[in-house]
Amino acid sequence: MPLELLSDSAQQGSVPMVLFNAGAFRAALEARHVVSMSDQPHAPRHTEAAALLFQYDGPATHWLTLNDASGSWQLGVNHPVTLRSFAASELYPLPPLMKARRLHPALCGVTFEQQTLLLLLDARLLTPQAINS
Amino acid sequence: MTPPSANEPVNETGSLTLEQALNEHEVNAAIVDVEEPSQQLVLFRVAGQRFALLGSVVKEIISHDQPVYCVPGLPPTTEGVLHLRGHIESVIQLNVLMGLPLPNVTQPGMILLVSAAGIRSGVRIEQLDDVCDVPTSLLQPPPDTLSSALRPYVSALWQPQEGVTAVLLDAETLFKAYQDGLG
Repeated sequence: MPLELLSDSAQQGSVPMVLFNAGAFRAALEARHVVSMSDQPHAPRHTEAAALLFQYDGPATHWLTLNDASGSWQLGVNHPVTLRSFAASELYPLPPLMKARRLHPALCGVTFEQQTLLLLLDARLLTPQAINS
Repeated sequence: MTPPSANEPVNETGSLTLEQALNEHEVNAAIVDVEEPSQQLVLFRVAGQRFALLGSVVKEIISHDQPVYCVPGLPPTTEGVLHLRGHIESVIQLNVLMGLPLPNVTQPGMILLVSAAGIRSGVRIEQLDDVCDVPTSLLQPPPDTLSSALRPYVSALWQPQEGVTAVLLDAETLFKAYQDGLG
């Protein structure tokens, strides 16, 4: 199930993001880090996004394939998984006190999808090792 | 001959003695002295106790009906974020940092938007009491009897009325301590 993310959605001054559910929250990763999506995990290294947010809420429905220095790994997420570009002005960095106290460094900002808060995750800091540590 | 009293004219032409003239000058000086340096304080309550912050660090008083969005993966004293006119602000509770019980979740109270130490954040308060100008001379140094949890964050005490004391907090020290993982 390829995502075919970057061809049409990349716009000037905007950031294409893959949106998904993780526990009770909605989160997003930069789309350029997502290689593909599948229904089942097949990579030896895989983990669920809800664990990162300390919000485990049942098994993942979709698996995003990402790459890091050790090769491919998969991140389990829950539906609906969507693709959307956000203007740079819509993406807010985490306020300084929250940045200092966050429990995981991948949590890097927030934005809004209509009235719903969207957690921005830095895919480069989102490795299976980091999540499971 | 009885000397003229304080500001009573020496004769019918209304002239004064030198002493009276000098006294009058001192009276005028005293009037000028009333305009001593003062500081604006924002008075509020947390856990039923009276606190104050300098008006210069309180940028905005935010109503209790402003939505605060919960963000996971943070300590319980970080309530979440406010979306305020195109800006995102954190909202924190200082109760644990100051050794006070946590607030009643059914009565969320108001939020002070505070800027200090190069950091801006919302701070949850129980209720807003007043915003007033207080002569600096009425601010007293914090006593040794303050709790050890609170003492590092107190810069002065002020008695707005007999038997009532407000604790003036140092926002910069509070924010730095919170940033360093306390509270």
